Amino acid sequence: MHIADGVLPTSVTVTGYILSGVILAFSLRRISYGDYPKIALMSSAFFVASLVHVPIGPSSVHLLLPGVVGIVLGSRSFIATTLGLILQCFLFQFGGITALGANALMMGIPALLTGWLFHTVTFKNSSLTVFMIMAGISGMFGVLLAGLILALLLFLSGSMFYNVAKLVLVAHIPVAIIEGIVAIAMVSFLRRTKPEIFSMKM
Amino acid sequence: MRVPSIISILIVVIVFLVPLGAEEPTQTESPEPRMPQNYCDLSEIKESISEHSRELSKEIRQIKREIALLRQSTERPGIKEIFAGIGYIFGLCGVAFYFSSRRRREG
Repeated sequence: MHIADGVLPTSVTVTGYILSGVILAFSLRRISYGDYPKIALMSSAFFVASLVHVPIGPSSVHLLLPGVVGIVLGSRSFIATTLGLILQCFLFQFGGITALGANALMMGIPALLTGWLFHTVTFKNSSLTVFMIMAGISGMFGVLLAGLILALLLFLSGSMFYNVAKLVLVAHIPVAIIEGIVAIAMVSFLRRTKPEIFSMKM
Repeated sequence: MRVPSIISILIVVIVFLVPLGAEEPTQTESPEPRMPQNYCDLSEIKESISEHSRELSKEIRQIKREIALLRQSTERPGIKEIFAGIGYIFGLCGVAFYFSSRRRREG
């Protein structure tokens, strides 16, 4: 789920850097004093999630967590995903440095949109069932959107990646289902033990 | 005394000369009887070499597979990198808190 160096053409990498820089600047402007620990916590979760491998058939996939990050952080989620990706890039060599902007967009936009979707449907007083249903939908939607953005970026990179783009979309369906289940488990736990964590405004 | 010494000299000469003379006819023997044996040896050698190369290629393939596995295991991030990353994140959070609190105090 990370784009390596040399896959994307220069125009796409530069556009990726500019767009992610703009979104990051907007996210940083909205940040408040009390948000830091929450952002740090979700950044760590996002950073470590890529190491949790789930075996599927002969291959294995890893968690992505854009849905959960979006649910907890709302409009600040882009900061957490970008920070996690930067550290994954430098410490784990996941994804290339030149593709960092595109990778940030690929993970950050789904997180932002899932956050928006979750917070427009659920309210502080919504029941646990509503929270769980929305968490499942958000978790799945986040991964599918990330897969769609990845396929789009590969599609923009040239005709030699058309088949890879199709394969990426199909490979993300089981990941989305697992992610939905994980999101339900996490949100239901947080709703019962620490409901104030969902008070993040969009 | 003379007779035995002459006899002994003769014996020595015969002993040395007979084998020299006897070698000659074997050298002039036709090589035809040895040919099939040579061909047989060559094919055997060829077969053994090919078998050897087969075994070697099998071993090389296995070694390549092991190298690939080893590379994969070394590329996988270890516990050190994971904790380093988490440390960076919380460290950056601390830095953000510091600047934010300074701005608050100044404001």
